[in-house]
Amino acid sequence: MRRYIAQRLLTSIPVIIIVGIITFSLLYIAPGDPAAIIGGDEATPEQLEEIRHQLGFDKPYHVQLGRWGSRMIHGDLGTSIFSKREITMLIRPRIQPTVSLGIQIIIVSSLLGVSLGMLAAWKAGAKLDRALMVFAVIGFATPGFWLAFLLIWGFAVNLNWFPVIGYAPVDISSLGAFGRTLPSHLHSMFLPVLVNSVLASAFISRITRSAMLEVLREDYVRTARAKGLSEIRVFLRHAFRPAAIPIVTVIGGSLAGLATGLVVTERIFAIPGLGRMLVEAIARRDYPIIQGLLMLASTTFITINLAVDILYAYVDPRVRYGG
Amino acid sequence: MKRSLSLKLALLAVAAAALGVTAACGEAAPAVVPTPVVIDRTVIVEKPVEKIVKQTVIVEKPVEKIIQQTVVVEKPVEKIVQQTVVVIQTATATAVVAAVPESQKAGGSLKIAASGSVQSFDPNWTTASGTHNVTYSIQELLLAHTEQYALGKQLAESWISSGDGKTWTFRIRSGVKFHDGTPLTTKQVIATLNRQKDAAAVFKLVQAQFGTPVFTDYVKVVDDLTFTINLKEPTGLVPFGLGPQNFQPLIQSEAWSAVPQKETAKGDPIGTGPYKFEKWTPGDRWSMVRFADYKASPEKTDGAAGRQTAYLDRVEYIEIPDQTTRVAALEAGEVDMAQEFPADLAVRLEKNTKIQLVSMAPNRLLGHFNHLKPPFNNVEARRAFIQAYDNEKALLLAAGNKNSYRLCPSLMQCGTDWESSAGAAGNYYAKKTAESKAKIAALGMAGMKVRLMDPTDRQPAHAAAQVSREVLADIGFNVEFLVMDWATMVTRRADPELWEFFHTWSGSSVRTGPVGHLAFGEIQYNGWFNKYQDVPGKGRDSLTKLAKETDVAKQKQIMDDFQAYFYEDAIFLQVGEFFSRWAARADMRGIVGGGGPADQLPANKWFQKK
Repeated sequence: MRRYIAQRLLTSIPVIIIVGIITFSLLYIAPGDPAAIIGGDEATPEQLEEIRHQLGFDKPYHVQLGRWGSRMIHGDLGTSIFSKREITMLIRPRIQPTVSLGIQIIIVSSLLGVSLGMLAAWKAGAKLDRALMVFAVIGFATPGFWLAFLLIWGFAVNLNWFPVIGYAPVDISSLGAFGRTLPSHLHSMFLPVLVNSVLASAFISRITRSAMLEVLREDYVRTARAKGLSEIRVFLRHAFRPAAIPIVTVIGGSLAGLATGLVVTERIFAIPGLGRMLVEAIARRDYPIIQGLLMLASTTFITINLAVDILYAYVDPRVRYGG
Repeated sequence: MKRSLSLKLALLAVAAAALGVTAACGEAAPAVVPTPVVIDRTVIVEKPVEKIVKQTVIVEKPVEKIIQQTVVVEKPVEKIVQQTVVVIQTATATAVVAAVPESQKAGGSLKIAASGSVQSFDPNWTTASGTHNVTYSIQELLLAHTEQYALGKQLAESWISSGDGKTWTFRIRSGVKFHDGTPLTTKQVIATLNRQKDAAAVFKLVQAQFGTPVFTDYVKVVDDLTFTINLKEPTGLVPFGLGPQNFQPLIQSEAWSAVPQKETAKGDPIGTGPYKFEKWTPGDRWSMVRFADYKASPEKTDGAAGRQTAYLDRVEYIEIPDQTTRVAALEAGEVDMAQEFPADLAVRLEKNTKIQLVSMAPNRLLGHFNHLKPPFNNVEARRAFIQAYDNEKALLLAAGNKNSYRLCPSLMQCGTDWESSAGAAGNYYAKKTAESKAKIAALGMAGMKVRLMDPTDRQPAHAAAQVSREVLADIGFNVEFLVMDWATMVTRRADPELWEFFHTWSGSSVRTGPVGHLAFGEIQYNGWFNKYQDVPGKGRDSLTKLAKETDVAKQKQIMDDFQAYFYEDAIFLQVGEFFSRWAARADMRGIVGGGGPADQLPANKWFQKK
């Protein structure tokens, strides 16, 4: 198992380097020029050229790539072209909102999706199953922004139960502070978590249902039932564990996607997270921020995939390649 | 599992209940006791081609909020194209201000839903409006805009020109302090102007055309509170060089002025303004608090000029990029003011008695030709396109509804003293599609490719591009429609080989004055992305005349003559004007309205105590 983990860690390094080169190169060839944005409507071509020179964008590709790569190796993401502040300083306060939102969405959507999927598999073909799958299809097809505005209109503007905006951070400096700030944090995150969880749970429930139905057809499940085990025991002990692999894959994929995929939610609910930061940086062509965030996202993605692979090995002994 | 299902059903039931309650809430708005006030109603009746009539009607009527409505007035002789009536709470604010003692206005905090994010608090470095919106409360200009966009005193106490017009002596107010306690002297003023000498457009123009070339000769210190500006040739533009322009010469600390203008100054902004910078959380919010030692101007308040008062203890700007969320946050009472949003959301707020809706100064919707490449290096082709254009359709698409735009042929803002219809007859909103098509065919340009850039993430330009696509095709061009984002377009337009036409919009031309309009925008000779060539040289002549002319009536005549030439040479497509809105809690006082320079600034605003 240790060897397997070490192998996977080593193979991750060239992947990160390749991702870095691709990220830099794609931004290099992408249209758009931060100098034009800084200069504004009244800048002359000469002034734009001067700004490009100041930013080092007039240097050849390999020189720019070399400088960027050297900074990355030293853990320096650089400074924002616009605010001239260090990117690590800009990213740091954005991590908590996105991570907290992601974790809450994963917990709520997993519990909801897996429960509903198992319920549907248990009552396969019955009215309850059909009703749940109709819900899943609707959840799948509903645009997130539409649901978000509907919930804001109902629960925030008219009922005043939850805030429209006003992300309340959770203080993790001590257990006491955590306990004090958690209720207001959860309250401020309720609507964004609800929107994403409803949508994500629809997909998880469909995957859970089909995985469970496949396993429930296996001979050993029939044997378990034949020897008189209760249906709950058959479901949870004999069927759920083998069915968990595709479910873990889907949940892991969702988690990785959440690293930068909460753009719409963060924008609508004015949550100062990483997704919003990325979109705003793209609109301005703030290259160092875009590159830094993409590297952060890809490293997170690779790490989560690694964790999912390790979880596979734990769930299914056949997957332990060298263990 | 059954529990999960129950939870789901409960959520759905709650959502359904919420819809019902919402509908009920919408009908049960609390009644507001009307306050008798005077409404200043300005009715603008536009006939875009020949003549524009203005009427001012004063009506006494109870009113609680600012509304905008369209009124149709029938006139037997003149054709009325459109009228926009903006009812502004001017008199309300004045009446209440007179009745409430100053001491009762102080206190409270203001939360503003900001439309854009701020990347820098250095107004000398960027022209971004988000930066200027904040720094106007923290730092001050020597001369600021009055309500009518004339120049008024802010840090300057007086100024005088010598008999020969070559030496201008400025005196700044005494006893003014920066937020760190440093007294304001000519040291900081000169340092700021030195940093701005190559960026602030009008200041730069005055030195380049009329001033002495060496900065230390051009601006000289006399004493701690007096300095002079020294010219080779007289011009009336000197005060404009110290007032609002693209890069704002807001007076900064010496430490900030030591940073080269090409770099943004770091750290907290320090100034002499009524509010002191407090805190910035990047990507989320920034705030400022009342400056206890603020020394206000003794002059009467007039827009951003004269006396400015910080009644509010604290002001916080919260970045809410989505306009629907900004409006929802205001409706839910989570913020007290919401910055710019479009007409369709304004309609939603019109019936809400807890909110007042305010119009912003109009924006001008424009279209730009590539003057270096065929077909639009030919004046006949440019004129044919302009004469065929459906201005009203483009404005309606850009603004969102018919109450939010006006046809305006004038280069300077309609509804102001600078408004003009010179040269517009037969050119502006003429819709001569058939004639233009025949002209393009006669020029041998039928089927010629026109690359039209469409920035889809900028609604006004995107909307106008849709109409331009139709009109260009209708008159015989082969349109290549290039869809892109704004950042790509502003890069692409810098290369004249890559495009033939695109749209932008700009703020009120009155802000920069006629000189700023001629010298720094799309009209300037060979200086902007459209590479306007000004072959007859009349643009350059007009600029020189304007720069030397100090009589306003004569300046107006020069501008009118230039506008006639503008249509003759078809420099760009003037589509018209459109309005955005902002909104605030109904109990906020001190809002003058009408798109003045200080409308959305926290100074002079206060909340009516219950």
